[in-house]
Amino acid sequence: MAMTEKEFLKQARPLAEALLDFGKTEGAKHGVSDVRVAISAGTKQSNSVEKGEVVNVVSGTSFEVTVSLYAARGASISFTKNVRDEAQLKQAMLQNMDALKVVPGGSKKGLLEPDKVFKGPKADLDMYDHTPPTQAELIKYAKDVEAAARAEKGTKAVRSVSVSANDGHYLVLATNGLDISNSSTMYSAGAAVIAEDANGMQIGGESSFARHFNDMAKPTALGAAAGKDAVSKLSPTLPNTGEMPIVLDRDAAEAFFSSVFSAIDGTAIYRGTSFMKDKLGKQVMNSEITIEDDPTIPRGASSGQVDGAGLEMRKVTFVKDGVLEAFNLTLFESRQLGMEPTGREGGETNVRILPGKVSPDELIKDIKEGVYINGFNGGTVDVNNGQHSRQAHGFLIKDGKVTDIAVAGFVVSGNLKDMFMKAQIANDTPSLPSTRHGLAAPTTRIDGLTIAGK
Amino acid sequence: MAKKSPSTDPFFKNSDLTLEKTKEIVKEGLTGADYGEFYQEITESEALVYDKGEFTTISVGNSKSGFGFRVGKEEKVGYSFSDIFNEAALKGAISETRQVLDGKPVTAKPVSTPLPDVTAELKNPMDPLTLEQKMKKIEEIEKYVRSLDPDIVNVTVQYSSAFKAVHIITADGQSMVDNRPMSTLSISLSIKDKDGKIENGYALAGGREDDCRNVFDTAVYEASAKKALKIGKTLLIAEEAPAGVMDVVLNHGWPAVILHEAIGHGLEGDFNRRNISVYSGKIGQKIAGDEVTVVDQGDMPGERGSLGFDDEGTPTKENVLIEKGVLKGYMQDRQNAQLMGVEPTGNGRRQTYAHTPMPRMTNTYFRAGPHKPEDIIASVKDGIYIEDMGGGQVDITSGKFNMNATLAYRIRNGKLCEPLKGVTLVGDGLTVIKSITMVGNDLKIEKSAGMCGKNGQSVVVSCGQPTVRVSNMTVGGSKKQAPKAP
Repeated sequence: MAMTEKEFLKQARPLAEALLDFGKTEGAKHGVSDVRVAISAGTKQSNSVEKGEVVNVVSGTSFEVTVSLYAARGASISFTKNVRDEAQLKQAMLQNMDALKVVPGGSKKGLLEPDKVFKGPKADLDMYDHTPPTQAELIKYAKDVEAAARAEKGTKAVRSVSVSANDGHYLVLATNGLDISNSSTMYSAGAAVIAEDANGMQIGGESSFARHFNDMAKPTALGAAAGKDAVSKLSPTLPNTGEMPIVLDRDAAEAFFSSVFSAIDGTAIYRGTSFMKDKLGKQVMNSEITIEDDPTIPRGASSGQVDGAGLEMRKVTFVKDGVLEAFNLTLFESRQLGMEPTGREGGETNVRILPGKVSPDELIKDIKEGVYINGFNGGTVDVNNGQHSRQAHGFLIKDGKVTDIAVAGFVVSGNLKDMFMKAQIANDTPSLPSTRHGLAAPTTRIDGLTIAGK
Repeated sequence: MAKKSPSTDPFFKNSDLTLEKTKEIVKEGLTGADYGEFYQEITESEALVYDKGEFTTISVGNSKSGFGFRVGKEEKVGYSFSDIFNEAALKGAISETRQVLDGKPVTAKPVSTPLPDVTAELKNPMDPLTLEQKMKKIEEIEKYVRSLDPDIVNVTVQYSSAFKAVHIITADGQSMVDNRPMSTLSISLSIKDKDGKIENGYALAGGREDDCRNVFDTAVYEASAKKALKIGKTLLIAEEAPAGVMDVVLNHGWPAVILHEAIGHGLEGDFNRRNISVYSGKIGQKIAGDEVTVVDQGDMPGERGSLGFDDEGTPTKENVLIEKGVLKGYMQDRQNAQLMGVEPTGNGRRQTYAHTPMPRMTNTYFRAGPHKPEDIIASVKDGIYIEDMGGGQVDITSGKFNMNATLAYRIRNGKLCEPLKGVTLVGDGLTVIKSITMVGNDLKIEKSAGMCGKNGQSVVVSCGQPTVRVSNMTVGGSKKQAPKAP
């Protein structure tokens, strides 16, 4: 079922070259100065099991072509079609060439300067699993996950267990000399488990993902963790309403630190709608905190060598010792701000908060009353005014220790500006690539937040 | 009143298959299945974004089409989809999906639901205006928004239209076509005060529209612009919300998203078939007061969540879920209806041809009650009035939900007082529905907003309600002195 890089390129390269050529020759008659052709394709296979049997098998293919046309006066237009037929695509290009004539100029949208385009050599980030599992192996994995989840004491049912195998491919050619392609595989598995006691039902879960199937979490461990998670949430209570310290586990910390990237997003910065807009070179977080983003990690969930604009992607330290070192910019955003682009056309990649100095236990030990948070659900995180108001769940902290008293349904409120400055971190940042975390963050403590509970 | 069938020709334009041949192959492919169908889709779309005085996105001529074939037997479902529609691809999909049947003995049950006549006329909402006309209109709208207040610092106008045509062939060889046009225009702005503090305001217009001129209408965009400005200006002077347990009054219209999250999701058939919803096993029980009636209705003309038929070919209709406080039924797709021994309700929906259907909401609303909205506000001594809501989430197993308000006011002694920001409402569905103490007489269905996510699939929905009072909700805010719980 899966497609190899060779099979993809055999189909995509002649089509992309034909469209690029057409864009150049025909475009010249219509005032088109630059053309970019991107083709992506993929296959998907997913299997769900319920009570030891396969219940849902989904498979399919996708293929998509995006053609962008640019005029030298600073105007652009694009379309995306899931069509493979060259004649149909050329027809659509002709329509957009015509439409481009009425698009006003003066925009900073436009291709990267040819001398900045990455020319190689191509690095091997080991993103494609050349020994993929069979469907039978995927199904066995899912069945093992489900069996382990159901074996946990206190579980009532499994809401869903599924495992999926995807492969994705892309090729981008443009008139500025851009010629990049990549193929990758991605395996993922998840279990959602229901536990029940006299006080009602709770749902828990666990998931794993990897570029190579053999790197995935062991299915029995994944299933057991999902079951334990559900059981640990039974009979939740509410914490007291008031001001108290919170400690985020590594999952909740991942959600918290991802807000940094909303706040340093190029569009929010040039629009002036982030409280970080004037903070470059200034202290924005506790000085213990350094945030690195490294796209060059082999088998990383978000690794890549070249971004969609054609810039080489390098490691960027966005925050160093609490000081904001860089914004997260696409090419267009960097032009709007008059700054150098950061090679992040597709946003941040493999982010890691460098470990702090103390253990999680030491971080917690002086908290008399607080909440240990395992995750947030929805809520408001506004990087303009700093509003942070999110529902959370976890366990009570009493006399310096995390108890087994589950809490849920309360709201944690504060201002992100203060939360960034007050965040203290432990030394347990997971390493990357991870089969569990897209963003690797350590256990994090924040004092003085408002809890709305009972 | 069967309408004339529109042609299925567009679906066979670049294929070696004909309708008759496809029907034959589909019929054979569904032999021995309890349920399943051939589903095909053509989507065309365009989007224009005008931001800080320039068009940052001009994406026109987009299209996406493909088909999916599904075969189901009891709990088991095989599904295969492809962007290529020809005989080889269809037969390949069928042989792949039938593997899930494992050669088990055939116990096929006939589809008992009457199927609709083909209805929709295919009409593309983006056709009536040229690209140039749309761009001129957008520039005009941006100028108008800026003219409203000199303190406006950013204006973004986003327009998008989509034409979605759905073709379904069912096991008994019926072929039907539905037209699902959408056109929307949103205005976002940022406004500053004299200290340089910035707040954002946003408003959205349009919805299920088969003519994009309706979203460029002067009265429509002027109303949107004024609404966005009001939100931005109000947030500039708004205070931090208190934290604690309070009485809450929800405005009519979009704040019904709380109904969608806190109650609607828990009434979807798949969760209840597995007995993992807080509403499972409660049919016939009184779970709310007499004023509470909840309906999901997919056949309301012109509403956002409406469909000619659902994505399994079942006609949509009015489904009363809770009547005068008594739980009446769940929303079903074919699979869960069959497994629970009830009829499908027209709620089997999917995001695209690359997704399998499941029970989903359409237009979900509280029916009107007896109270005047002003009397409801006047009844609250100390509480919060939610004028407009953002979005929210629910955990259907525990029933716990959270919602965030975009515009709220404090109510003191029955009067609206200072505006508040950062209001989050949390609770659990069963408790909240019991705590609805007053239902207004001013039902309003939201036309423009509503995207619902479930198991990674997103579908267009709507919701509505009259003004509603909920007692003792948990409000999360960051104001330092938390009020005492009543």
